[in-house]
Amino acid sequence: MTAIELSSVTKRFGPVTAVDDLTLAIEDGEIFGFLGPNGAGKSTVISLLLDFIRPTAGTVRVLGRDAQAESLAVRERTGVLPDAYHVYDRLTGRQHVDFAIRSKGTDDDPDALLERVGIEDAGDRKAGTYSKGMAQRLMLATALVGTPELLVFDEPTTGLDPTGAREMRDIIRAERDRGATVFFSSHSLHQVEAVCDRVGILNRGRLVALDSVAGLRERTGGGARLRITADQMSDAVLNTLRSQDGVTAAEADGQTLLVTCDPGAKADVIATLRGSGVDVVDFATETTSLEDLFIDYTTDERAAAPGEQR
Amino acid sequence: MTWQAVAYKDFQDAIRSRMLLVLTALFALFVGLAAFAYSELSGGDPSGGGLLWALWGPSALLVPIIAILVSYRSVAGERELGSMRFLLALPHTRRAVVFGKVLGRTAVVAVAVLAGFAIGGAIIYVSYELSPFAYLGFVAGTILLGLVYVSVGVGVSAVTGSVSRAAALVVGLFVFVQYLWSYFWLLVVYVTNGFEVPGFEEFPAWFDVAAALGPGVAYNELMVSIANRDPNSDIIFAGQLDDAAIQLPDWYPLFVFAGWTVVTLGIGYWRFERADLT
Repeated sequence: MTAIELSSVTKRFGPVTAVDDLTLAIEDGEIFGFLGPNGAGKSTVISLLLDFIRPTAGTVRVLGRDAQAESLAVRERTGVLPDAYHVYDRLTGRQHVDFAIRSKGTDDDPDALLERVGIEDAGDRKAGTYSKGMAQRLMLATALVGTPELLVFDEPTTGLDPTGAREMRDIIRAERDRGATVFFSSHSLHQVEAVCDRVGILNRGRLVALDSVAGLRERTGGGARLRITADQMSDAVLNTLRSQDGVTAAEADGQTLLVTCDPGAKADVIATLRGSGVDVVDFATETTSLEDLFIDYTTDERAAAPGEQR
Repeated sequence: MTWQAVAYKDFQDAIRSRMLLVLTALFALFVGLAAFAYSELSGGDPSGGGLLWALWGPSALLVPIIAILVSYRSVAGERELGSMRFLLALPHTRRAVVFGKVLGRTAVVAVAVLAGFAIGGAIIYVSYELSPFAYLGFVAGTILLGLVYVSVGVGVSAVTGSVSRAAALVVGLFVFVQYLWSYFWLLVVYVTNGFEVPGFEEFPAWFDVAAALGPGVAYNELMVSIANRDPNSDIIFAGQLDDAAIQLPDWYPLFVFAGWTVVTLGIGYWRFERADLT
């Protein structure tokens, strides 16, 4: 079954298009990392899943239900760690968990949940006194109430130290292993690659890549990035480079040229430049990492032509 | 429905507000002072009337203020701060959020009313005998007044995602309802009469009815009609509408209360249900 299904979803806020004709399916039981720079539309998608906002066009289905018309049924079976949330300052941590338990009508043990997220000692303190990391752990505890079929985490490692981030990943894996689907967003590929089965990269409201982490790694293919200093540069030359076999990207910044390509194509790139009458003053090669790939996918030039990426 | 969970959470949260503590103390002080002044100054009616005098004045002004202060941030504040993202990530409908908040905050106002009335009642009780009929009637009527203004506050709060806008709206509405209501209808009479104030004889009969639809007048009439039904007291109090051309039934204040509750909450809920919560 499909846990989350977005079909041609568009969401506009006035003149701003936050999500642009997005189609995406998350399978049952997978950990899906939803990546993108800030403002890419990740939180908008999550808000659509929870019916905080309604799509301008398209349909959103979660756990087989319409996310708007049947939102209550969706949220009964979903655990959420929202972004940009605020705790109730005057209520204790345990009161928050109690409230989630009462809201979901389950019989979870609040103390067990607090212990699982590592704030059992702070359960009787008012949440207003919590650090950002503790508040994040508290929200995680409330998200786990009722052993939900789907977990939706928006930037779950925000405010967590490295230990906390690792514990978060452990919990995400444990939840997947018991059968839950986990959908989480992040602006950092580093957080995602360690734990995700599949990754989708969103930029400017459009999906620019969708693959397994291994698949993404393959795409970099030990790929090389050439940093070339040339005496001159023109759009015509850039376009010639881009259409060349083995070249995945070419960008110019003044006299500096950045070309991403297969390692075997490096010599061809230099030859093409020479052939176009460009003098190569200097060049260096770098191997690309996943992070480079992510940045590559989310730079404006790529975003302008997302069709190429598939 | 999960509004009970929301109501309970909201009560837990709002009852811990320091502002509420101050307001409750202030209310209790005013009721106590009024009761004390009455018991000192008048050697008159020992039961219902004394209570009416002592409880009505402070309640008619302070309970609406307490109710509005307790409620105007209830929805807009959660939206602005972001706790709404936690609240609505849990399986609550927006309707359950609105009703739960009305209930939770009304319970908070009820605690303040009970605290104030307990002190006023105790002072009257020490000086005179206390009429349980009038006392319980006033408590119930005043909590109803609290419910009406909590509904106004929650309704306004649900209309907007901004606390400052909610505050501006609620202050405007409060002043209009509390102080300008009858002037407004006077203005309507003036305009409909061709921009001329009609003579006393030609004054339209509906004017008194329209003016009586404000919650302030309705509360006054409710208290008077409770006091006049007190089997322990022979004193008959004059209501504001006794001389009106159209006589309203005794239950009319409840109709007014219900109307304000339904209309303000209805508008607030309608807007909240359709809002994008970003």
